[in-house]
Amino acid sequence: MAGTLRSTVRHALNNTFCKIVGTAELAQDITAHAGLRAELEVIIKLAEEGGRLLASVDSDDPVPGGAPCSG
Amino acid sequence: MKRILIIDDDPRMLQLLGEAFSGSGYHVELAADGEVGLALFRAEPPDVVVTDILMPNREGLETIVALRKLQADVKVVAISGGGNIGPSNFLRLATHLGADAVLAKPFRLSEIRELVDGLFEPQSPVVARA
Repeated sequence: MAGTLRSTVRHALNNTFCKIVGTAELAQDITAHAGLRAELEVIIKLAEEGGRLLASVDSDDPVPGGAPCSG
Repeated sequence: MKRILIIDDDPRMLQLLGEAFSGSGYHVELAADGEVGLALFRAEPPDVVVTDILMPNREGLETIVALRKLQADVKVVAISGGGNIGPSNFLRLATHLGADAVLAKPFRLSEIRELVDGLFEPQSPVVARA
């Protein structure tokens, strides 16, 4: 059950990261302001980093020792 | 003008992909699930279909199989934010079921545009980032 929940959360987060990336890209397309375009690129890279971090988590494995945030 | 059918249950994803491809000169059709997508496909077959995998009603893998039966040579791109691990590797399944290319979310709009454009180039290789 926990693996299913984590898979669902991973799916939702990847969708959210994808929408952040896409929204920032479209915003880049409608502005010529170099500073704003640069800041939007930072947003894109941060969302991509979030996706990579998420992919690095082997969420199909049970968390050793039970609850992950018990401390 | 090439026709593209985009199938995704997330309204914002549909909007983003629709704007990205209409801005690139495609005629865009949007569908919120596989069932609607197949109905649009039957009404007027597009040149390429981009489909999400995890959706209500008719999910993407089933949709890909149905598309292949309707038109064996239609170009299909599968996208998913689903797991890359173990049995939940939907994009690899999509490739086995006949997707020409797959792309894991999150991706850039520029990335999927290049991928789809590449499918129309002669001897285009199967592109995958699962």
